[in-house]
Amino acid sequence: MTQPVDPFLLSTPDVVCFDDVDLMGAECTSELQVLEQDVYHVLIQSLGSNPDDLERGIGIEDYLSGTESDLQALPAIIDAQLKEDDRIDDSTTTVTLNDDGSYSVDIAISVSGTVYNLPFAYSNGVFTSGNLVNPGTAPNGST
Amino acid sequence: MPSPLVPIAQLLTAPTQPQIRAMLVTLLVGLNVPADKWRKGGSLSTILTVASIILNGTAILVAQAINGFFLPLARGQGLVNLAFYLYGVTAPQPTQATGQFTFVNSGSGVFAGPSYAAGQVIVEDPATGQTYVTTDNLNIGAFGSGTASQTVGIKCQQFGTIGNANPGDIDEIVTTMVGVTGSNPSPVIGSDGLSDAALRSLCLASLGARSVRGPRGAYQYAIQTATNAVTGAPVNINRWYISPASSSGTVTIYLASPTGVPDANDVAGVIANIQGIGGGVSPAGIPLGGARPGGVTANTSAAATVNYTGTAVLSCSLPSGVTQAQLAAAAATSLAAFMSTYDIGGATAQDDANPGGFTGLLASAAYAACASGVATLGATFYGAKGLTDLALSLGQVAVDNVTIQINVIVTSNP
Repeated sequence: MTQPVDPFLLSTPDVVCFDDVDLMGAECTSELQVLEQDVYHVLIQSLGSNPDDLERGIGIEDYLSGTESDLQALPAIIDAQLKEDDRIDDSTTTVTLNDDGSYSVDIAISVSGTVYNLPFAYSNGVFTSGNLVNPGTAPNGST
Repeated sequence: MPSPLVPIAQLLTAPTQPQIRAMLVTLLVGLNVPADKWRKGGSLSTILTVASIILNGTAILVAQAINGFFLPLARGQGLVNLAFYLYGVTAPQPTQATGQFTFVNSGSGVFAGPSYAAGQVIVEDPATGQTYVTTDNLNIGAFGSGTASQTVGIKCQQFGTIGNANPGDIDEIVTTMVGVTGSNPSPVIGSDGLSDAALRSLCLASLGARSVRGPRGAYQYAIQTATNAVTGAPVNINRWYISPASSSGTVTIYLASPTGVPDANDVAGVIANIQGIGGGVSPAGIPLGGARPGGVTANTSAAATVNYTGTAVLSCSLPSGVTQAQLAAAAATSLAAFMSTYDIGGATAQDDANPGGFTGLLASAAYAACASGVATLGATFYGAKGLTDLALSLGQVAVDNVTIQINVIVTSNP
């Protein structure tokens, strides 16, 4: 029986770190997991705030709590940043204002011919990731 | 066999942040941790970069702390501390820009009394927003009275060269004085705190001040630590000439402020310090002043000013968004700053252009100062004409009285 092939080859694992480093210092178990948290960090970090890569970062909370023009510009800014990542072939972002006043940020990234949907949300001034991390398997919403 | 001498500055050079990061990566790779493969911007790579930044800051702090024990290497606040604790020198503070302001009354009001006493009237340079307070009492009569015009001293309300102004720049009277106009007829100039190099020089001069034999450093120290005989504020004197040797039994000293002639009470303060009148001792126990040893006559006086006049015609480009007036002002400011520090007695040139030697202020130096001024606005300097060399003799100091004219050069390939 042939094993399913991970489109990402886990070459050098990173430490698990979304909003904080994993308490036990666990490493990511797939390159997809690494990519997901990298995308999350690109979204939440302001441009130039990461001394390790001064050219990346969006500061999404500033846009989601900003003006109408900020909101309209946000999808293109996200897509432009993510396309700079050599692992991502394409990116399509949709920002939706929900009835309860919260925002949904849905990002569809294309990696090696496969599209992965990465859901995020912004409510009451807090930006959160959806159910992204599912170590060793494809994330929710992959098509 | 001893190792060859390695300069302390070289020994104490802190590694840069990229160098530290590279060292950390090399160490980790040596431990089979693939730090060289961590993705840029990833969590581990970011942690490594932050660690290298912190280590770099620590390395710089350690280097600065050790440098702070060596006079040639100490900088900034470390040098100020070294000067105070080791040499007993308190770093002189910046001075307020001082000069004159001429009030002209074309109305019927009279401006005298407590409301117009020294310190009560405010004037302003509208371009910089700097304000200046009068230092003399006003006693201005109505138009046609014979006292309708009065020139008084002013000083900037802030310390340092930020208050410097060219003639005519200060032309707004903030205090309500209906019918009165005015401006500054001459440059208004102050000085910043000592540069690190100047403070090091003062520290060395303080060693001379410990001698009872009156070396030149003792006189320099007495000048730089003098206070105004009336106000007690540090003297606004930034240039001095001390005759080379006292073997004749006479030392001649000339003093100049940034504007040229120093305040008479500043000169009195310097004389008192040189003579050791009321000198006392520093917190470190070093005698203050008293540079003149017994049997030596010290003649101290203000340098004589010599106006440097003429019109400097500067040929330069006109950058987009910049006016000729702005270029002229930038050149004038730069020239004024240059001349405010030019040596008493000038410099001596002995080159192809001056085979017999020339002592004074060279026009080429003034042009260079103008060129650096227009360069601050992005203009290209092509050349200049109109000024001549100004001969200066011992005890003379040049004072800026140059008019600037801009000749715009338009090139076919901007």
